[in-house]
Amino acid sequence: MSHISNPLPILDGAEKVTGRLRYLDDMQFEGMAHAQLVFSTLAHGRIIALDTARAMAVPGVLAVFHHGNTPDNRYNSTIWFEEQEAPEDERMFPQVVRHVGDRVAAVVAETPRIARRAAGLIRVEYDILPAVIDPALALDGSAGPDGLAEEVRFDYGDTDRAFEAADLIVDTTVSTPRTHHGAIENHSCVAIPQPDGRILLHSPCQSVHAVQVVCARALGVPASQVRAVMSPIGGSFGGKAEPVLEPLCAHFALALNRPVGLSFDRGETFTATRTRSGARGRVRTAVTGDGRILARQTDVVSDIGAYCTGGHFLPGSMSQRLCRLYDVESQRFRGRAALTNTVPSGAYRGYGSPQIHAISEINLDLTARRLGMDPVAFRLKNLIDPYAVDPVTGGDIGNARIRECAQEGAARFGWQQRRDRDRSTGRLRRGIGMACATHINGCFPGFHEATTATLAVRNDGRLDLTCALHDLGCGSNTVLAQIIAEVLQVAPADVVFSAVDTDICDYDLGTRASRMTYICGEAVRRTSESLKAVLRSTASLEFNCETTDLCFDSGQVICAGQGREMTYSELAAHAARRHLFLTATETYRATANPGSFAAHFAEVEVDTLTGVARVVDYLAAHDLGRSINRQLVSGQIHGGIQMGIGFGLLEDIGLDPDTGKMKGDRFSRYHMVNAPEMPKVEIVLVERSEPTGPFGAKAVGELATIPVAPAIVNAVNDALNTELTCLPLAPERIAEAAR
Amino acid sequence: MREIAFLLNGELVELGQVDPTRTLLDWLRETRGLCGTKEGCNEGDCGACTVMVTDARGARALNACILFLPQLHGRAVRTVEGMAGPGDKLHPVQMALIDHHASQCGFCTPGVVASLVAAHVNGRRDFDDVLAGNLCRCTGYAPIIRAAEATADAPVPDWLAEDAARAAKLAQGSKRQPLRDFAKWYQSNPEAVLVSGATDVGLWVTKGLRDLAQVAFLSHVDGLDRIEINEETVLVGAGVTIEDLRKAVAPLHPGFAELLRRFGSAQVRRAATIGGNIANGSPIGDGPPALIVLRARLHLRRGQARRAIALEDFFLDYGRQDRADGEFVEAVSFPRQHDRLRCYKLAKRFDQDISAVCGCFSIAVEDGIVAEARIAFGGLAGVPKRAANVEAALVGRPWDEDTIGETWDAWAEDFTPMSDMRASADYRLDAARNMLIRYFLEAAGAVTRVLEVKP
Repeated sequence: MSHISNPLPILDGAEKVTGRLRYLDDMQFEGMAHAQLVFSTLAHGRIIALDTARAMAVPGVLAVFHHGNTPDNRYNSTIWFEEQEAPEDERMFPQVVRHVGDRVAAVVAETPRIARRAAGLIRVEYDILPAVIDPALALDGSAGPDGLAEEVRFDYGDTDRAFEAADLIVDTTVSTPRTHHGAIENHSCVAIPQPDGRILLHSPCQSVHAVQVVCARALGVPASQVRAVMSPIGGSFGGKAEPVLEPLCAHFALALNRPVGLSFDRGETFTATRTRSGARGRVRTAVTGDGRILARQTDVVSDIGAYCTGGHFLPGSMSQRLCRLYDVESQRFRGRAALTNTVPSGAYRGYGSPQIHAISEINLDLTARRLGMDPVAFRLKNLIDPYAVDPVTGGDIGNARIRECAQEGAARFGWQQRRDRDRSTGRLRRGIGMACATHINGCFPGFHEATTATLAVRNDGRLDLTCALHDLGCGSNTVLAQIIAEVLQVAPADVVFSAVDTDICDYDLGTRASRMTYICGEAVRRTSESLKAVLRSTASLEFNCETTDLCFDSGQVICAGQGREMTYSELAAHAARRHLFLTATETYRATANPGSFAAHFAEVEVDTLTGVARVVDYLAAHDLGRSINRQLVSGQIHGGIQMGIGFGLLEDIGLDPDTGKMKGDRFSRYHMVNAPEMPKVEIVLVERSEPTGPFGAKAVGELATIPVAPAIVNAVNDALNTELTCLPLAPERIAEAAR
Repeated sequence: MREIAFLLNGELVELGQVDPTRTLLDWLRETRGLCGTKEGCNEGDCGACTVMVTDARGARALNACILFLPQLHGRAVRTVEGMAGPGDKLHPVQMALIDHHASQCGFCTPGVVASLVAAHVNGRRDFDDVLAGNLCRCTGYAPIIRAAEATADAPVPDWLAEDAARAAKLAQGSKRQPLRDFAKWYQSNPEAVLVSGATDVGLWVTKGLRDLAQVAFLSHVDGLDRIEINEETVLVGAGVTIEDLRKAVAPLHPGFAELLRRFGSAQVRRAATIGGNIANGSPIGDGPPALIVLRARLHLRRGQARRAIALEDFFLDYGRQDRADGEFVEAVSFPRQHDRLRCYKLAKRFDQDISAVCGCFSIAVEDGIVAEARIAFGGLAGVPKRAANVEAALVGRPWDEDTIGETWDAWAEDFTPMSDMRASADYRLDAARNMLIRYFLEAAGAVTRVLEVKP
């Protein structure tokens, strides 16, 4: 039977719906002490005095840590492997705090309650330093030389001439909000000193190897001294990609020589972990009168917060995305990352794509409007074709089917009929909008984009898979099991996943960059093929037949000519007698980085009296090569839309422009879309198979959230005939424009 | 410290010495090792800690993070661990959640299970409403709602059917404190903190880290949760939950009922009481503006002394109410009247959000002239407040757009709202003015409710 495209439920569903699955905070560790951090209340200041005496006097307090008594090793929490170079501007406890929520001290105590109470007794005195909250000020030189963390430029074609030749130039400035990941599980970590002097870290993370190298750097020890094990994760979306708590927790545990747990509550997860960077981008698009894009100039400033914790990669990743969606003869790009005295930014679903696509897709919609063209027709005139070459990297974009997404999506959505409808001029107005987007598949050609997997037949016939596969909850392990099941003809539930443990698994970049299905999936597919060859040769010895006479079905090797069959379990037992083991290891190195594509369509209704906009209907068309599991694909798309509606209409951490304090630091003030807010969603899958992907598959998860906000903003602008470009479109902004 | 008894997943639990502000969530996780129930926010906003609580009035989904142990006395609690039957037979809702891929990372799932099982027991099908207080960041909710729909017709499993009867028996065994005795006690212990649903006071403990020296649980007091409706008056006891108030007022004032449907989440509406909503004096509580427009009177009691005042007079200033030491809110009442009440709640998120502006209107027009106008707002001042100048600018004038336009300045005389995370001062005032326009349009028969407009 075929396991591909099956709507198989996730393999660990029963553990989740019964509450049996233990997340890190649900686990007990013998003798564990508990840490509580103390955070800066200032956006920028030098600590001149720390009074810890009252905290230390509380019975049950074991230690207080701060800049005066912890290692001063500088590190960068975004590194993925030991040799990676990155600006090292983080420390466990800085003496100069750089944002509200920066780390000042920690109390470790026998119970979380004691630690929390004692932390409240620590008094801090600061020299107040000037704070820069506005990223524009960070770049204009007034804030000192460190405001610019990164600048990326590219320039191809003759942009100046194209702008001179253009019939129309449309100039738009779009800004996107700082947002919170909103994983329902908060950040948590446990560190346990080992008898051999090493430190074991339990962490709900996206890469155990990243945890290992970051902690080693912070502790000033070789990476071999750190062992990291992934615990079940209650959502991440990039928020747990960088080890925030782990270096501290490791140090506390080693210093006290006992297990230490450090868990954040919701407010701390808001203010003291990571956010999506804000972006402000100006786009100038030069077009011909009949709607051909001649050239584009893009200038984006990202507000990355107080440290280079990933935000400094954004100019580079944004630049990549701009050249892989439309066929534009010449483009000029400048991207800058600005350091401000605000909460740091880091990885967040889409890594720069949601921002840059919001900026460019809103501009394109306004361009279509000025041209008097249908936004779909305008885009179709300019979208790239399959196997187009990315002018910046020189790589091709694979079997790109964005045209089909736009065409089939528009047809199914009834785009034309909705456009032709009479527009209300009353209080409630309806509008439609669409946006296109692309995202990557893995890190190739950067970094070492490779995955190593080992697959072995157990005595009971099940398959042991050893690989650092971080299922972040979207069911990626289920997808990988289906791939293995398809090759080896076993039940997906018969694949047993190893712990994700630096002591057991070969190095892996972890779950990021939309590499799970496309890279890890191909790695396990190749490993499965390798194991199949081992099974074939072993069985041919047992059956005394040609390897070509064998076939595989339902966990058995079958020699049709002899009418004989053998289960994998039996084959393993026979092989063992010959001192053979049924095992295979493969390392897959990526050779391509195709794009995944999507076109999203939204209908909104806007209340002109209150400015409240609601998404009432939605369609998402995706080119994902081929779906391994339709149900899981649909789950990714629905979840992406939930997040994207928030990005477009609701979510904003609300940094105070004067103090840098976060006003939206709790769920009653930070509005994530809930069930009543979700529109009906229809999904169109364009499955034309990507030749380099496992069974033709490409990524979908990150991409699913990228076109959502611009599609909605374009719909609101259509409803009101406005040019709103400041996200999120809070009721206030809409009401003002509607007036 | 007090003794309490309740059922936990079908098993009797008797606790002798209980810290009265220990939350159910902490107790489950730390003392009982039942870690299925999760903490996502610890303030009743995300629903990851939702459990099902059953008593004589039926099954409810409640947030365990802001539920104090004494509130469970005489009730039956089911956590996610207690939803499956003998031999680990999954509840139909659990089965459907797996089949529809309604659980991805699984962290919100225990709360979703509790919300849906409670809805299933009660035969509810308004799943958007049921789930508004359960945040999920993975699924986009559609698979969860499909799972709920798929199990709507399944019978309630036997193993859950006994909770109500067993809890009732447990409750019978313990007498509630007579109101008279409580009044006397509170008069002599005026420093005690009164706890009703704990949806507000709970946060003083979980977020404010406050030690509450003395606590009185109003759910243990008899006679505070009565609703009396006769031909002249509607009287609602202070201990009536928002959900029970919603049901009671729905036939009389459907606009008020719809406002209350948008009050907090399903979990909060089933814990929070109207007495608490009034007594805590929040400027953004949704109950008072509507009640003020309905000419509500507040019934206060201190010992055996009772007094009744106009509800708007109770709110003196931000954080300050007309309540003497040892005096408590016993009930609120309003006269039966022709229903002209319209309630407009403006929030960023339609459901389960705190109002930026909550405006309530009742305007009587005779022969084209405004005969009476009562208008009250939440979110525009430090207290729930009547728009006295706007009312005056309307009464005696023709009921038309010109008159409405001429109220422009009166709004600014009535209110100087503040700017905060929810809205700016200007927007609040403009929205308030626009609500009067909306009332006018609605009275003229235009469809103005977002929910009624079809594509």
